[in-house]
Amino acid sequence: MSDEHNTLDAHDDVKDETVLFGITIPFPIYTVVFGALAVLTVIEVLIGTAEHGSLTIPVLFGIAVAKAVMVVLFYMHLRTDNRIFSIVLLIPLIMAIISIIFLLIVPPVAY
Amino acid sequence: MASISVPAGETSAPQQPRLRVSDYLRWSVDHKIIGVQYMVTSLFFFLVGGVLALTIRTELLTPQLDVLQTGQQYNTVLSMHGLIMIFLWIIPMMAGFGNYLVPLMLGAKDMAFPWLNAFAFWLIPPAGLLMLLSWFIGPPEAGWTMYPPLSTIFSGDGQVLAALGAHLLGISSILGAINFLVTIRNMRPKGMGYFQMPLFVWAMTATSILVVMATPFLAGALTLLILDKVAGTAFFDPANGGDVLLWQNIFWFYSHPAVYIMVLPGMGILSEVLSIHSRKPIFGYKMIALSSMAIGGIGFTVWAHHMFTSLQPEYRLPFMITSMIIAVPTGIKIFSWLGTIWMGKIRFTSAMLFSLGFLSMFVIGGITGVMLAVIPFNLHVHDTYFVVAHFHFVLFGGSVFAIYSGLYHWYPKITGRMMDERIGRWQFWLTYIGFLLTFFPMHFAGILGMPRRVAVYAPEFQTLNSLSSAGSAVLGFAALLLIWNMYKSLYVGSIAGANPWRALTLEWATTSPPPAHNFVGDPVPFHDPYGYGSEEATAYLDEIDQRYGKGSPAQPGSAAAPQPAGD
Amino acid sequence: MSEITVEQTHHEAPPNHGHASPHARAENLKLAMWLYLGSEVIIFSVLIGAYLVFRFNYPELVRAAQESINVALVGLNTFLLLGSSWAMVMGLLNIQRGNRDGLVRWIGLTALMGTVFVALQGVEYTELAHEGIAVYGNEFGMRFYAMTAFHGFHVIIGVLWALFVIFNARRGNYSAENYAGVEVFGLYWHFVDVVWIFLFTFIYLF
Ligand SMILES: [Cu+2]
Repeated sequence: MSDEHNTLDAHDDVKDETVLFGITIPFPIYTVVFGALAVLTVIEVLIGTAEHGSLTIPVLFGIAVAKAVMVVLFYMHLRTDNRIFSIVLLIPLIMAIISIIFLLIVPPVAY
Repeated sequence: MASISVPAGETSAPQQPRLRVSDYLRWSVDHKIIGVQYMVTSLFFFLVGGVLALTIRTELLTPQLDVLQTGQQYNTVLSMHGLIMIFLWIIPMMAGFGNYLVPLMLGAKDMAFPWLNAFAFWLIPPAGLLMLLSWFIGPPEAGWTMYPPLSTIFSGDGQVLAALGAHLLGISSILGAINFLVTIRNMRPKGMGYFQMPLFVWAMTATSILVVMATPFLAGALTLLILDKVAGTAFFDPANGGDVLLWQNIFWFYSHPAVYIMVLPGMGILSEVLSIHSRKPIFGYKMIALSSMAIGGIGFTVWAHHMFTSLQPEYRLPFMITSMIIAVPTGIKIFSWLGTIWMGKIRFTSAMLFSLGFLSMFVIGGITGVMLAVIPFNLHVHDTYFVVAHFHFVLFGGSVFAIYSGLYHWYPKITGRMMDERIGRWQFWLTYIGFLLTFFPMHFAGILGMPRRVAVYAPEFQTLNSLSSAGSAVLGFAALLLIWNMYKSLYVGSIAGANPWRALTLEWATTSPPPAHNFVGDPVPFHDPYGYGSEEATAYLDEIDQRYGKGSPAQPGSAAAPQPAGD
Repeated sequence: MSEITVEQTHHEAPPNHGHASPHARAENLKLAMWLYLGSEVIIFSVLIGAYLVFRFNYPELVRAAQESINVALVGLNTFLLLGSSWAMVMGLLNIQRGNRDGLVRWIGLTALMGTVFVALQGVEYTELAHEGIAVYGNEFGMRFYAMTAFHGFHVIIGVLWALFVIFNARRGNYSAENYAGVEVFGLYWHFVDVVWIFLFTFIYLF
């Protein structure tokens, strides 16, 4: 265990244009992410307000997770920042998910 | 080259200006002042909670109501006793030790966020006041667990104040824990990796992780409870679309880890004291360090063992298993401590006596814990005095014995003077015997079926209860002895010097009490903070002895253990 | 072998190494913020858990309540909050490049969008109250208001914090080397945004 005072100065140089799938878009990555978030939200609203099928809830949940992950990775810089921050976020998140799942599987009213 | 600076002034009074009482009454960002503020505040609440405990024991001397007029009053007294002892005595006391010691042990000048540190402390007096005030406006009667509907429908408005107080205390300890974690990760000195940290710092790490992750559950649950009481919602009221079990689940998401929040720092204290006072390297350093983390992790998976009578049968079994598994890392610690004192040059100082007391009592509390994890047995003794005995062995026999031990051990560092060892030994034996007399009979009362939280009980339990009540008087007297000893030693205690116990951790490498920024220059830690008997340590301790005379208490062998290691 | 020196300390003026470098300070602040956000995850999970349990056990009650909700209004609100996050991060980008005026402008936009979000939430509450969805006596209402109001409270704190950042920026307290204050506020603001992403999906679309 060596001394690990990592440097976390990791604002990777954000450029004024973004290369996405080989196409150069004249906006910084932050704007591109905002565009993606907006599109996903529109899709979400369209799915959510239509008649619910058996897949609706999983799909909606997946889209919400994708949006959240984008914000966390790009806007909150977890993609490039020190890994400790990801750990600090993930451990409570796992705890929270476990407890919510438990609350969901236990019938609400005691016998 | 390892160089540790040992300050001058060993045999004379500290040269720096003494801090006055008024320095402790105002806002200060010095972690040492804040640490003392935490300790004194929590000692005050210890006395309040102690008076309530003695009221309970006096009431239970006879099977009928005599001291208190109604059962409701009795419920109030026991609720306040539980709330105060847990939220205002043990948790802040441990935070006090952490505040005082963590920066010193890391050779740092202060915590990472001094201002936040002070802010976290100053949330405690108003919170304590709220709790005390709740007594006067229809006091809480639902115990410290605050189960609905007792707390929502049947308790008075004081329940809201008590919940608000607990809320503030929760915020305070979350802020404190964040501060500890940042300090421990980012402010270690050069040459001190995670596995060269003193074990108390490891214990505070595990505790702080638990606080950051568990306390918010309590905050969420209390928010809903307060809404139920003041905003007319019905989160916990099945008649109006709520769910009583929701409270039990969320509360124990928090409160089982909270047991470890209360006892892990005590285990850290124990690791320091046992090694230093038996002049031996700690046995199984990594095991002790990592078992704290394991306890923290598994501690999150056992909560429903508190709900064996309310949860559906098919969900009970996993919690029985995890609750038994958690005894394993605890056992690892116990055996490591035994390995540490094995063949050591034990000095029976008061600090050491209390740590040994912890060892014996905590083993009993741990064993009854495993018994309670067994579902059939649990159903039999559920909500009886057996449970009361169990958690008092863990929280008093564990946490409070560790606190007593820590006070004797670090009092010289904090004040610059030694505590009276003779009174200390008296206090230990009185506490030890009084404790056994108070809480051991409760096991029998519980197995025979005496329910907890009742003021009126069947006459056949009177003998056992009288024993308990007699023991509690001894315990109370012993606690007063401690306070008296601390007060008296402040004025007439012999001068401690920088390193009275001849220890190797960094808090002893500065004057007692330490100067404003803790160290002159940057201290260099030993590669192994418990390396008694190693060449480095022997040379260092010999040098101190030559320069300043033999260590206090005047016993031989401060230099090194006979054998480098017993393991 | 290692040589030991036991030093006698001197009582002359101690060379205080002064304050931690801005870099170390930034590191400490960010870690503290992430830890705080970790604990916020848990608090919100209690509220969200209480709601989801209700959602899956009484789907018909939730459906009935969703009838009275104006999704267009809430959708607009969602865009506002997502946009404010974007403005926030653009502000950070500007100060990282040393552009203080850009920082003030973008954070100003963040604060503005946050304010409008809270205002529209107020409008929504009024509409729902007219539909008879109240805090008390309504299984959906109590869970709905507890969650969204707790989140709204976080937005309000965030707006105040944004104003504080603007105040600091105008006094020239941030620069291309020293922008930890902006970054930490950004973490908080984006977290509030992430919480809303989930609340929006769970309450209005599920
Ligand atoms: Cu438990």
